[in-house]
Parts: sequence; structure tokens; C-alpha cells
Amino acid sequence: MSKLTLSRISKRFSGRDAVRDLSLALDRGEFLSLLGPSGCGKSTTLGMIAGFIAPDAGDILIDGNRINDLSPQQRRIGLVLQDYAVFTSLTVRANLSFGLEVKGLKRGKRRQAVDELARQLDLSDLLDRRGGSLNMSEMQRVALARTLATEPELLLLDEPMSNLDAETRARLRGELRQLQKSLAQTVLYVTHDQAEALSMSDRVAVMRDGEIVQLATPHDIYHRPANRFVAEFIGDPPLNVIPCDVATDAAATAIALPGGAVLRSSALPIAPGRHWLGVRPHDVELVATASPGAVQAPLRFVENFGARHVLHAEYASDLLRIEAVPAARSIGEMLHLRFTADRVLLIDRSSERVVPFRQLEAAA
Amino acid sequence: MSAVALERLRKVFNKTTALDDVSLAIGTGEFLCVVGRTNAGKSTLLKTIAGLYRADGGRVIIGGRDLTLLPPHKRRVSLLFQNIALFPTMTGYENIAFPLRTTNVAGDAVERRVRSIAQMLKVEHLLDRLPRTFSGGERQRVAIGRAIIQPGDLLMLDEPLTNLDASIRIRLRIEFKKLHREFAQTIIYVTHDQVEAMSLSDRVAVLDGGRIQQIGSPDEVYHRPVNRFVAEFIGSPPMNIIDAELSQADGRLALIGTGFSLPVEESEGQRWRQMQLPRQLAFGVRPERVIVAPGPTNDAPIGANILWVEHLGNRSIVALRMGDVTLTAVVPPNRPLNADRRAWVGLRPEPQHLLSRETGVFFPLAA
Repeated sequence: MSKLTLSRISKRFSGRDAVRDLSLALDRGEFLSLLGPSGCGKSTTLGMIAGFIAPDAGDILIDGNRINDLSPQQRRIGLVLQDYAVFTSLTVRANLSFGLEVKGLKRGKRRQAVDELARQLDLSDLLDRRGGSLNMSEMQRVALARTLATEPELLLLDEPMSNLDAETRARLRGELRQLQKSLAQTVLYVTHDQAEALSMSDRVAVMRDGEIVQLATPHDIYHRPANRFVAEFIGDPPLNVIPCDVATDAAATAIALPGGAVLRSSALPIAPGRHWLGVRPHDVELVATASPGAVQAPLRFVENFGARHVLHAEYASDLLRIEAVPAARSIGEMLHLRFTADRVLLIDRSSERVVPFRQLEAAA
Repeated sequence: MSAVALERLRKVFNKTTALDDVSLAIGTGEFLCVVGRTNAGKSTLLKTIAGLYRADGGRVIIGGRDLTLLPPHKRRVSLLFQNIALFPTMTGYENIAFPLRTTNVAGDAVERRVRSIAQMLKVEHLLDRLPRTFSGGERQRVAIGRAIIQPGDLLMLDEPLTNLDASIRIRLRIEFKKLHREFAQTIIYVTHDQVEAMSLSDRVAVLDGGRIQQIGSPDEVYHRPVNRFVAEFIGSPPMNIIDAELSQADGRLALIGTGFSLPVEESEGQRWRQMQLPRQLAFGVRPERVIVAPGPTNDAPIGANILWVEHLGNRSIVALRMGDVTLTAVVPPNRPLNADRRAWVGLRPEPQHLLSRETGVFFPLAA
């Protein structure tokens, strides 16, 4: 049985659908991320699960029991928010005891439970420190520990890392994931940061306009996006979207790109005409010289990440992003680029759907 | 002659030293990025050069003139603040053209320059409108236009692209580079974004605690950091810094730590010995130089445990526990590596990446 089930929940705010007919099931011990831009409905969904927002329709179930009518306190759901809300003037021990005190646990039991949690979250040495003296990593662990102390059935995390710098975020992501696994804690994680969702989750639900547009593993979300929105939202640097002309007959499909390159594949279920080709910057191949099938694009800018370069080249009246090994290159030089049929996404222009990946393989 | 020379510049706010003897020379037509964390002293540096703050010590020399005591408007420098203020009662056009008011540029020449800058910044539709109708990004672009219309001896930009979306950021970076190239404009550009600094500039100045830690080309600060701060600040994920002991058993050098022993190649030994290294030291390895394999190989002989793996699509970041050291590696995507598994690691410490544990300073290579 699923730990959490959302069955066709909806919520309208002042005449606008914030969440529309949304269904989702989380397995026990699963880490699932709700990912989407601001205003997509992810925080409203979280609020309905936590009990702060009443759905207009639909059921919320934990272990198969409907919890719509329970108050937030009765739901046994832990919530950690952006600012962590660690009490800065209290010691870490007092912070961790807080939830247990509210629950009415006796002092001896409290001490025991706090010691155990502190051990699991590597906070034992910090128990006598005040909340205000902690760094971000410690703060996150205290906020998590305080919430976990109440033994929630489900842990909800709402953009818990959005105020942190990139370096700290990367480290905390790893720590959080490790902890979640060791405790087999069921987690629903809300974020607008695709790297965060991709790197931590068992599955990712990408949301747009109050609906889930794709629910899949991080691997599939990246390699087999359902539509143009997901394809462009996922990946950093983002996907290149190039206009292309598609001609198809019973046996084969030909995709003509600006600059003269043509990709061929077995016949694809797509109407002939103008469509989009999506290419990850990582999948654009740099070739040394002009060669058949390669297109030309003048280099305009080099983003230097030290370990890798992201090249920006003028192509089809836009800038094309190419991930490349660092090398000496000069602005204005002509790049020769090749696209490979099995490493691109064909996007139907009218429906914005991605033509199923498996079929898009190079024909002999 | 340098376009800009700072000599032991100091600035103190209520006993907090914001600039601590900053000395640097910027060549004419050079593009210098100043990079550092919040409160490193970056904005204070620009404001002191512009004359908005009075230096508590040291000198500011621009174009050969000592400007330390001159008021801002006599310095012929242009500064674009992080918090942009446009003139609210002036149109976009008047805002951009403002710096030309006090010059004797002819009317139609002003018009041409405003139009061409507006086109470059994609704000042509804002020229007849008032700033209160602009979005945040539009304000920013108009302010950039005002800062660059009258090239002075020095153009200073303080985080000009924060809060703009990625595609316009790249477009504007291209324009800054063009501006720099075509007009040989001397530019000091402040940012907290190390990738932006490495991408834009001829040289990068890394600032921390009001002190310049290192000035060098992007390649230098990345490949030859002078100290631990620079090594960890430039590059993401940061360079691994690992404590080790330099041993010399049987005449062969090796770096030894808990759970690993890294022999120095015979051919390299001479170079290492000339450096006169202490026994206790540390070494740095960039995450992309850490070799990770699912089984033991010649290149990756050291056993380690995988703590976590971040699959980012174009690459994966792997955190490993090797002895008592936690190590970060960046590997190509889709490697069969999973958390809680064993992995094998290969490290090749290089002589330029050896540093003192106490001071955090990298040891100089022997001449």
C-alpha cells in the first residue's frame, strides 16, 4: 500500500486553478520531488497534504486512511520550511526536545530520544550549543532532527535549501539523501531547482499550471522528457531548441536542420513540416573541420567552469550551447558541429510532445 | 603605464577593516574581474576607487593622476551600482543620454549613440517611457546603457547581471566583451559568481577579508591557486584538500594517509625533492581529476565507499569515503556507481598542488 495517496485533489484561489485534479502515490521510504517553476501549484499541494489548505475536491490518504478532515497536528506529518525556524536562543537539545514536549513525552524518555536522534544526525557534539551559533549544515540537521523527533509518517520539505549558497546546497543534498535512506523515511520534497530534484529523488513529478506533466525517475525525466516544457526545464545548461523541417514517408523520416545537416531515422509518428529539435549541450559534437553533415556556427562566448567550457555559438538566429573540454578558442572562430540522431529529441510543434525516444534511432 | 594603480588602499568602518592594504595595477584596456563572497570588500573597493568612500590610507592613481583626494565627479570613472537608481522623472532615453549632457557631443551624435546602445541592450521600446513602467530587468539594462554611453578612463560594474534571466545574461556578457574589445575600455567588474569572472576577464582578482588573495589569468587561478581559499573558492565542486605525510621509504617518495598510499612517480621524484617539503603537508586534487572505477584497476587502486552520487545528466558528482577522508569526484554520466557501494579511486598528486597544513599556502615549485 502507498504511504501517501493523493486522489484527484483540486484547489482554486480567486477563480484560478492552483491545483487541478492531481493524483499521486508515494511508496513507503520513497523520496519524491515536486518540481516546477513558481506558481505551478507545488506549494499549494504541499499545504493541502500538511493540512494548512483545504482541498476543494479529492482525497488525501496516509496508509489508505483518509486524512482530509484531520487537523495538521493530528496528521503525523513533519514539515521543514525554507528558513528552518531553529530557535536561536535555545540549545540544540532544547530545540530537539521541543516537539517531544508538545507530544507530552516524559523527561527521561525525551532525553533518550534526543540522544538517539543526535547520534543519527551527527549532532551529539552540538547538543549544548545555542541555535544561533550553528552553521547552515548544522542548522538543517537540527531542523530535520526536531521534525523527525516526532516520528512523522511523512516528511514534507518545502525548498529547504533555497537560501543557501551553491556549495553548501550541494553538500547538504548529499547529507539529506543519505539520512533519508538510512532512516527509510518517506519524503516529499518541493523545489524549483532541477539539479536538486534530479540528484536526490527516487522519482520526480514535474508540475506546470497545477498539474503533473510527467512523473518518472530522474534518468527518464532527463533522457525521455514527455514534452518541450519538461525538456527545457530539466538540464543545466539548458536544452537547445532548434527549428527543423521534417519529411516522412512509410519507411523513413528525414529531419533537415538549418545550415544543411539532415538527420535520418526510421519512420516517426509525426506530421511533415516545421518542428523542433531538442539537443542537450552535452550531446552536440564538435568536429575539427567542415565535414559532410556538420553545420557551422561562429563562437560568440565561452563560459569557463574550469573543468569544462560551455560554448555559445550563433546558429539559426539564436545562441546554441555546446559543452566542451577546455581548450584555447577565440571569439568569432567558426565551430563545426554535428548532431547525432540517437542523441536528440524531436518535438512536435503543434502538440509540443516529444516523439518517443526509442523510435528516434539513426537509420543505416 | 597602468590605467589604474591602487597602492595599499585601506578602508575601515567602525574598526572593521573592509580593505586591507589592497594594491593592484590594471593595464589600459584590461578587463579585470574582482570575485569574492558577500562582505569580501568588493563593493567597498569600487566605491573607494570612484571616490564615494574616502580612503583611510593608500592611493588611487588613474591615468597617471593621483585622485585619492578628488571628488567623484572629477575622476572620469563610471560606476554602475548594484542597487540601480534611474532618474524617475526622465524617460529611458534621457536616462541613457544623461552622462552626455555635460559634454559637448552634438545633438544628432547623442541620438545615434543612445539608439545604438538601446538596440544592443534591447530597450528600444523603453526610450519614451518612464522608469516606473519598467520591469526590474529593464531598469537594469537601461542603467547599464547609462553607465557605458560615455566611455571614461575606467568603467566599473558592480554585479550588473544579477537577477536577470540566463539568456539575457549571456547576451549582455557578449556585449560587455565586445565593448571591451572595440573601445579598449578598461573595466573592473565585480561579481560573486566565479564562473562569470573566469569567463569575462583577462585577469581575475580573488578578494577575501578585504585582502587580495590572488590575481591571475582564469587559467592561473584555477590551475595554480596560491592558497587554500582560492583553491576552494574557484571551481565547483571545490578542489579536494587532503592531509598526508610525505614518506621516503627505500628512496621512493609517497604521500601517505589513513587508508591510502600514493607513490610519486620515479621521474617526478627529483622535482619534489627540490621543493624541500615538510613531512606533514596537504595536497589538492580537482574533482574532475579523481579517477573512480567500479572495480580495482591500475589507475584506481584505492578502495573507497561511495557516500552519495548526484546524477546531473551531463555529469555525475560522487562523494566517497577513502580512509578518514571524504572526497568529491566528477565523472561522466551513466557510470555504474551507486550509493553504499564500494568503488576504487585513483589520485595523482601534482607538485603544484602541495600546500602547508598550517598556513594553507601552496608550496612554490623549485625553479
